[in-house]
Amino acid sequence: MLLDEHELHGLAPLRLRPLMRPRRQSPADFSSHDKGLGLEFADYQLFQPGDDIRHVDWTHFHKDGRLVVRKYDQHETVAIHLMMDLSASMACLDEEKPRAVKRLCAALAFCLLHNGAKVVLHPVGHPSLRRRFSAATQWEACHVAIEELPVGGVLTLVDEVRQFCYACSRRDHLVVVSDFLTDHEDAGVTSCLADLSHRTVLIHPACAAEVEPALEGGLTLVEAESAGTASLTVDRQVITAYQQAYRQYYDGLRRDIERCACRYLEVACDDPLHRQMESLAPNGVLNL
Amino acid sequence: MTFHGISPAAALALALGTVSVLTAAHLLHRRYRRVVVPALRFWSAALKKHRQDTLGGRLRHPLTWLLLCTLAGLLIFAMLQPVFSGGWGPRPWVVVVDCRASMGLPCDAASSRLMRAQALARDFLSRAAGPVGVTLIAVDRTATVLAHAGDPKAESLHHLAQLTCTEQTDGRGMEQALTLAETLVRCEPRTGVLVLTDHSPAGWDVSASLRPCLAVLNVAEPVDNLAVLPPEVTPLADGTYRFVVWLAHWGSEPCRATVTVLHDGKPGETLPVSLAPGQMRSYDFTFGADQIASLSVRVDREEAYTLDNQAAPPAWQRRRVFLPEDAPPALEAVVSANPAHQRVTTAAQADVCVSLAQTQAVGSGGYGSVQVTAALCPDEDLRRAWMTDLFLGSNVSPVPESGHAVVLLSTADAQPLAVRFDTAPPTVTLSASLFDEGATFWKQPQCPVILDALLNPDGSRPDDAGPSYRSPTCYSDLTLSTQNPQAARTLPPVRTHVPLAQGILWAALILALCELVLYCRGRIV
Repeated sequence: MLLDEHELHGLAPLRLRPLMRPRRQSPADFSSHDKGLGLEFADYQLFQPGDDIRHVDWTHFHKDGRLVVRKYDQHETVAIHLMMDLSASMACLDEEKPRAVKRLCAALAFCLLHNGAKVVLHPVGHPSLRRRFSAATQWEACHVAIEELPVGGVLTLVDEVRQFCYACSRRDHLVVVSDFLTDHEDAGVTSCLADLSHRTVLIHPACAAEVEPALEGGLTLVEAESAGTASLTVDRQVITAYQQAYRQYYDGLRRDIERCACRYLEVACDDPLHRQMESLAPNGVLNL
Repeated sequence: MTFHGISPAAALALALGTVSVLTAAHLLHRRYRRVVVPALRFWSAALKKHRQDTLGGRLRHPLTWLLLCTLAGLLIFAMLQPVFSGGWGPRPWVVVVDCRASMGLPCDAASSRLMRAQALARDFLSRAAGPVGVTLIAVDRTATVLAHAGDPKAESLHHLAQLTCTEQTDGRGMEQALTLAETLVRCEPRTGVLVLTDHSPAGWDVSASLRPCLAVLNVAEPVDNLAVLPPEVTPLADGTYRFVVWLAHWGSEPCRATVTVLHDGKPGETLPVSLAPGQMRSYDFTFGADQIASLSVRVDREEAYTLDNQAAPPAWQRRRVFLPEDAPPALEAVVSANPAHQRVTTAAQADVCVSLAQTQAVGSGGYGSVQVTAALCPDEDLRRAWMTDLFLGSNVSPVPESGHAVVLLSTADAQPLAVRFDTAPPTVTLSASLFDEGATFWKQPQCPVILDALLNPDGSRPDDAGPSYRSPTCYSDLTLSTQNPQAARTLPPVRTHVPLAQGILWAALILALCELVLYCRGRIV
């Protein structure tokens, strides 16, 4: 089990506040910024050719002789694509990191499902394992699906984000949990985020073993996904330079993401789950 | 360059093995532990920042291997104990040790002449010869080369310690040794020759090429162990000549002396010197080419004697001994073997006369011991040592007693076997039974010692003879090199000997410290 009862109990109060502005009119659970078909009255509007005649307020017509139509708050169902990176680079320095990522994604899925959102599990690199969960009753299945996701493989994040841009509707949200270490240059990850803008949240799970690796002496470093190697002798100076490069990379990534109006969050994998969720939902509201 | 340590083949094998081990260790070290990391970009940036942007960074690993190999090479090179040959090496020496029978005579209560010669030669090897061995020649009936110059010093010392006296009293051994030394001097003009003997060099046929290199040390005399070794004349680049005087001091107390360079026999430059016990030093003087032919050296020791290289080879005073015509061969051999004795034909010329007592034999029915009286040897311990294994046969012919005679040897029942009459010259009468076939007296090794004491009635040198014994016991002949400056040009330049192995070890130590510093700074791995 990724999450025990106690943790699920702690996750239950969290609420979801979607940031998207949906255009398609269909009844749903969340109140939309647009006025349209819904259950709650919002305002009157002069009848325009093409308006549904069923929504004409005949009482108002009898009073002042003008045809007006009722407008209601539009309700929608939010679909959040949870793109999980469980590639080899996530599991090399800290063996617990993939499980921590799974627990984080499971917690997010739990919150989303219990707030009426649809969750699309989107394991990067495994399109056949993509699953869609529409209701809170499917939490158990979602939990099992997340737990059984395989770890390893090559991160194809850029391609899959581009594919998401083309294939999914514009009101779908995207939450990416990844270390964003791809073969592309730094701009590769963010180049495809411009179209997603505010609908995308990128979460970087960082662990202490990555921030300050406990390595020393002569080492042949093997890149987890590309199998590229480099031999060097690691000492304090090299570790310091590594940390500088590490921080520089993710700071640059944060700037690029935020420049695209997306959100970038960094979560410490070594922290307990409730603290990770606090960083994602500071006031008990998930800003996804 | 010559090597005096391990053999070059062994050094080569050792070097190959060491380089192989270092290379293998280096390659194994380069075969680093494999660690899977999320991305190389961070590490590559670290490498680029700290290592790869400098030449040292690129050479970091090869430099480590190179420094370690250099260090190992230096250590192996030091084990070879290299020595520069030619003008840069230490001066080669030929040490000739006389091992003839007379060298077995005691020079004091504790040691013989040969033991003194061995001690002097051992000190000389330790101090003067440097890391190289010397050519060690033993002289008895013939000359035997015990160790060559290329042999390790330890081997020379071993052969030196194994030297024993032989029964040879004369022969061509010294002549052959000098011929060998001359050959070595011709091969290497800087070679010095040191002869340790108790024979006078007066009658030696020393060639002109050997004389400038020859130093003779008389181990029979109670010398105070100050010696002038053959000096060197070296032409310098500015046309002048360097005149190097070597002094060696084997005494037990420090000595002070004054080295005086004589110009045509007149005192010139003086240099006060002080030599510690067991010290050998060289003193440099510089002269022009026109002066070098007239140079000689005198060393005035304050409390002892004067050494003058212009003095003639010392004519040692010998005790003249008269032996009767019918003297037994054993007695004749003992007298002729000792260079301190000179046999004369008439009693009037002799310092001591020897006669044999042919009296009626007295049968004792067995072997009887020979007693050495206190008149012959006051030291009781030495007397007992002398009496070891001295026996006479069954027929003993004692010397007739006389009131003025001093009994020197006697039988166990106090019958005199050797008496001395204080006549002029003194007469020593020996019992003929001492030299019988049945007697063991003349066959024992202490026989020459006892006979030497018998023929030396005073038992020691006379006090008034001191100056004669303080006459130059070591001399050097500079006539060749000084009278012919052109010949001196053939001498290669001499530099102060630097122990090369020690210098290499210092270099290796400095290199090791540098490696440690580089390692601490991360320049090498």
